Amino acid sequence: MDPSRGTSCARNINPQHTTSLPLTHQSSRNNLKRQITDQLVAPSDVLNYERTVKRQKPEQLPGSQAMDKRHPSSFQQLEKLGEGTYATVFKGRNRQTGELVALKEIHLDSEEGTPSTAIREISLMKELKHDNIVSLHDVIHTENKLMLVFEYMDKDLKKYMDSRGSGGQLDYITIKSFMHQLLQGIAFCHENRVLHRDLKPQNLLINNKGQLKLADFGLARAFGIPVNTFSNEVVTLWYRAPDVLLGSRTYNTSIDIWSAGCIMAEMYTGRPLFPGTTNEDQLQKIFRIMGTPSERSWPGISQFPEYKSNFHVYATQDLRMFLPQIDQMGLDLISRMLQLRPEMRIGALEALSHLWFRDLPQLRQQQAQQAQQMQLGGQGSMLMGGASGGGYGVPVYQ
Amino acid sequence: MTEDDIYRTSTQYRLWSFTRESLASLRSTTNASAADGVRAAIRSQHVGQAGSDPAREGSNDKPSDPAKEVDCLTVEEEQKLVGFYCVKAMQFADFCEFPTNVKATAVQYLKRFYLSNSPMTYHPKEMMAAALFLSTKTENHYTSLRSFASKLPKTTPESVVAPEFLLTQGLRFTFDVRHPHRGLEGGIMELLGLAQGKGQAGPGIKQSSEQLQKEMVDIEPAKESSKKARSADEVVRRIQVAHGKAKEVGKSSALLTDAYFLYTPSQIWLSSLFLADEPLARFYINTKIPTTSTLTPKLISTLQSCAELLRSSASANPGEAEIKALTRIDKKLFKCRNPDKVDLVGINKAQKRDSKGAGENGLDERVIKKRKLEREKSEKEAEGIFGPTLAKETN
Repeated sequence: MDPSRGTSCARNINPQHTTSLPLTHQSSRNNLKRQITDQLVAPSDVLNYERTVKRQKPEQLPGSQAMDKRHPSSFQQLEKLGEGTYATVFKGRNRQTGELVALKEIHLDSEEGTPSTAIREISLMKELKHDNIVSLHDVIHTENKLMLVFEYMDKDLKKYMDSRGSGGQLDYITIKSFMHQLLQGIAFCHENRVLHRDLKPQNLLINNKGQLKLADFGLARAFGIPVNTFSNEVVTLWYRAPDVLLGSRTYNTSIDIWSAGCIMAEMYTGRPLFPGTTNEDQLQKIFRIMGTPSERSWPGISQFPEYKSNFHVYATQDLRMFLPQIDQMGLDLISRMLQLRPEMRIGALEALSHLWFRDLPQLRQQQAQQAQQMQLGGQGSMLMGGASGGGYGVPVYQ
Repeated sequence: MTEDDIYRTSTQYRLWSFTRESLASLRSTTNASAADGVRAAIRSQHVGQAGSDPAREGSNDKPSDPAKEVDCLTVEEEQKLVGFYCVKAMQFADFCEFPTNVKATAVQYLKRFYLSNSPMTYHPKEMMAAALFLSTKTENHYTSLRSFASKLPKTTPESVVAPEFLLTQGLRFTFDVRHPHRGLEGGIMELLGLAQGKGQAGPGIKQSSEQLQKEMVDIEPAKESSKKARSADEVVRRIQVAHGKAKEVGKSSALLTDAYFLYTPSQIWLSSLFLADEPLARFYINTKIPTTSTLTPKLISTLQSCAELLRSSASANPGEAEIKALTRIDKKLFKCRNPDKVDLVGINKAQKRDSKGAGENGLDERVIKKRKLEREKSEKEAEGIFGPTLAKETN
């Protein structure tokens, strides 16, 4: 082992930290250093092992090589992006590379050790490496602080829509591009047997390159769907699939597709499609547009715990009435996503090969040209200022 | 993406897969540096004591180096000790009635942790409870710390949580463990389908479902049972017997050997099936890959070496001689433990106390209490609406 490793590690520690080490015996300076490196353990040493023993090609994790430092002080903490019961998110800057990051600080005051939500989120994010999933660069853990270092994204989809001035409506090209990226992220999760379970505009992050990434896997509860994360803010029901609202315990990947359908509609109109206030109201809002299902249209529906025989009976409406701007093919796709019966909903991979996406490459080219023109005209980038912590799992204080 | 492609992106493959040689060299490096650490700590303690002894002051006598006399554990002894506590962890998991995944993950946490840490530094007795507790968090079977600690003998909530930070670091914050169990269930379902004439062969294989069903009756018997199956029903029974045996392997030797470090989950479950009923396993492989493929002999030889490893495993119940050896190792360990790392609870408390005084992190007690209440409230509500854990969770 490289002996200099220990010293370089020790140098990274702030003096406060050093003096706080428990020293029951008079120790030599060397011993102190050794203790420090022992406590920081492993990162550098183990990394070193990895390099020597790995039988495969080195990892291809863009960005992670740049973040070799594993101490909180390697990041300059900028403004707070949001705070919740489980974490506080700050904007941060890597002191070495200047790269912007989102620092999610997990509160460790829990009497249960590291919160299981944090453990679950780390566990999932370490596995899911994809262009359309927000990337976890690093985990920094000192005795009293756990910090997740995520790639920085400019804002969440909700804020992005709000900032667009046209009542939250997005243009056709952007909708198509975002839907394609959303479905790619979902498809990747599903291929890895992960359900997001809480897709909503606040959990989709957008950067100034027009990329969309899924975020916040931590609050998806281990045994179901998040119900209430913060005492004064009920988790939104608006994107929740009808089978879940009916009390299904055997939901599957199709619940994320329903959410994607709701998000697609919202990008067209700027308003949520089914803005329910309670479980019952949410179901009613869905049935009012999609029609009230019956045993005939959905065999077995009466077996659901939340099924009521006296549901108000609505006739099925034409979705086009609610989405006047949508084209025929887009309507076909959204109709396949917003199927009441989960087994009738289109899968993510199938949705990606839907005809509606066929002209996407061409449209993207056009968009790039437009963006260039806008920049020439001094309009700045498509995404202006501001930041959001919402998608990292905490509400933004305003 | 194929299943193999997906597996290759996993941290289990990227960070926790080794060749036999690299695994051995990693362990011996860990052992050597831990021994150095023990000697250095003992030396500095001795110097500290000598310095404070007024009788020695002014004396020119150089004290003999006590560190040189320390007899440290060998890699093999470390392995035996860790293995014993892996078994213990499994017994505790069974006692707490945790599902297989929790048990299996906890064992892998211990094995992974002790690749880069030595029992001389951190005693596996203390890491064991922490590993089991952490795996209830990662495997969706969360139990409150209080109730968890109350189930284990001589365990306090503090002693469970004190090593958690060390453990998560030693695991390099990768908590996802891919097990062979699900794959085995899938394979058995396919075999049962084939036996009932509903199976389909893989690409490049021409046999029809009926042909496969017929061939299945003709598979030569597994070594132990001399009789050949005569009907589809008997084939089903044969599959069930093999299933039971393979499952046992998956719950014992697959966990306790280095199988997870050396082979993929699919290789492990196929090897378990190999051990349970080799002709059946070979038949299954032949329905997937054409016999003419160059892949077949390669796969078979990999499975054979994995099966060899699984067969050779120490039993889950150590015998008398084994216990004797373990007792000797534990006695030896008593003398070569790193004195700085013995009191993990104390170290943990000191760190927490120090950080509270540090100001910037010193959280207001009111804030802490508020967060706790909010957390409890939301957890309660979540349970009220969605009920307890689902039996089967898509992972």
